Amino acid sequence: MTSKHLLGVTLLCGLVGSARAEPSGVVGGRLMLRAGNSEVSLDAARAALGGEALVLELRRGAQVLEAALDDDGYFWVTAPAGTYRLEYVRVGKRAEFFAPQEIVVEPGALTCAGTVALELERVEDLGANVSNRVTVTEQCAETTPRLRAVAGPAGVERVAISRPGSQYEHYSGVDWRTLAIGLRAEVALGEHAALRGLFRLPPLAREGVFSRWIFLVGGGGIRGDRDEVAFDITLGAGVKVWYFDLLAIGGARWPGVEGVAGGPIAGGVIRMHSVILGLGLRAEALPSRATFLTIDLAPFGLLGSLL
Amino acid sequence: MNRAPLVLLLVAISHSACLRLSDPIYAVKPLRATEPLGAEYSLVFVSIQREGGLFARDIDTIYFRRVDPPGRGQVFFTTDEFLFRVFENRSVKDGNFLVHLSPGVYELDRLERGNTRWLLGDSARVASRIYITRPGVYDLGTLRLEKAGWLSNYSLVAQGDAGSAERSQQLWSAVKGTSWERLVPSSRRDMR
Repeated sequence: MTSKHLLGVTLLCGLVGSARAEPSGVVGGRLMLRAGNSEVSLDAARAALGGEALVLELRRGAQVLEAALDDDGYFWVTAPAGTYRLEYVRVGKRAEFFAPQEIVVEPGALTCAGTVALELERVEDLGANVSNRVTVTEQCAETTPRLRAVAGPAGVERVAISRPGSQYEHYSGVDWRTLAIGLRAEVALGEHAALRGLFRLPPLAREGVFSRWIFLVGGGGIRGDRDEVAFDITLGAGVKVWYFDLLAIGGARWPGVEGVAGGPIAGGVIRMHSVILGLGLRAEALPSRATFLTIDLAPFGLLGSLL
Repeated sequence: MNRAPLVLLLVAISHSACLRLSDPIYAVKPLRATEPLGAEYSLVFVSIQREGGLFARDIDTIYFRRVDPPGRGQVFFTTDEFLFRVFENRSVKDGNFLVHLSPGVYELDRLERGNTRWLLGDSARVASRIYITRPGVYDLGTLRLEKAGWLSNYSLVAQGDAGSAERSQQLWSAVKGTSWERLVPSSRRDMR
């Protein structure tokens, strides 16, 4: 390789490296401690905690950055641009966790994240995680000049007040096992016996209104008086309450055979289940009044518990 | 009417709780960490010892409960009892447990083996309190489960072996080749 080639490769590597480097910025704000109805200085808090160090850290994924924190509670940190979580104050070897706040670092800017007030019953409780409340206010007119003085000439001034973050960044959702045990074979015993296949879709959301919603789809045959079979298909929607599924169902049954009427189906189901077995009651108002005791089995639940 | 399939089904259902077809394969699987759901998670390695008679079996499930104000009550656990476990990594073995915890303050809440539960007293739970701030791999050491009297709750006594060479080697074997590997401090890797 000639010296020209070497120079070219070096320049190329330098260009690629500089293109990869994340632009950074400075973000800061003020941490205010409140106990009861009064503000407590960080010095007073440290004294009340036996001189334990108070440290503020911001995290993005697995990357944790320690913010500089002065005696008046002003904090700042230089970090690659992005959104960071502020969720605890370290108190010696312990930490006081509070409702997570998201702080944005803007590239090439000095961003004010506001004044984060952490309210406790007693300042001695800091680090004990008894109870706390966090509020964020925009007092950047006072904060930014102070940050500018301590953080240095960090570019244009911006205001991006920290906002509440979600409690969990990632959590396990419904996995294939949960879906697999939703497939069930059901025997319904009443005036006539029925055999059905079911699929129960569990709540897909972890929080909110949809965290209790369940759906059920099923179909099969019901034996009439003369061993003739009528087929039905039903859809159900409802809620999970404690261990019980409560569902309204609708569908169709055809053809009508002796002892079993055909036509639209309307009714309700109450059921409970384990991984393998389920037990329930199915009441139909249409096409005719009927009640069934249902027993269901999850074949994948059984197989999965053996493997 | 041939009732053999029904009898076979009933036998399978009744035995699925106490023995599994995969037990011989599962028994030789090593302790191995599963991949985290997100970069914020930490891996906690803890061992539980308990007194037992001739037929004593190891605890199969441990529960950690978050006790800090924003996350209070949320439960995190690791278990040996889940569906199709033969296809997954083994995060519980011989009283050793690997559990994923997101940032927060946790207490060991309860221990289980099948339908048997060991409820911990207040002092034991407080003594087990851990603060997870920076994502990492943590070794809590061995905790010995003890009961002072018939009516008292169980207490936990730390055996003081957290970070020992033997445990570091166990932990390294469990995380090697996974994304947890980069979170193990180099000093502990050197102890393996």
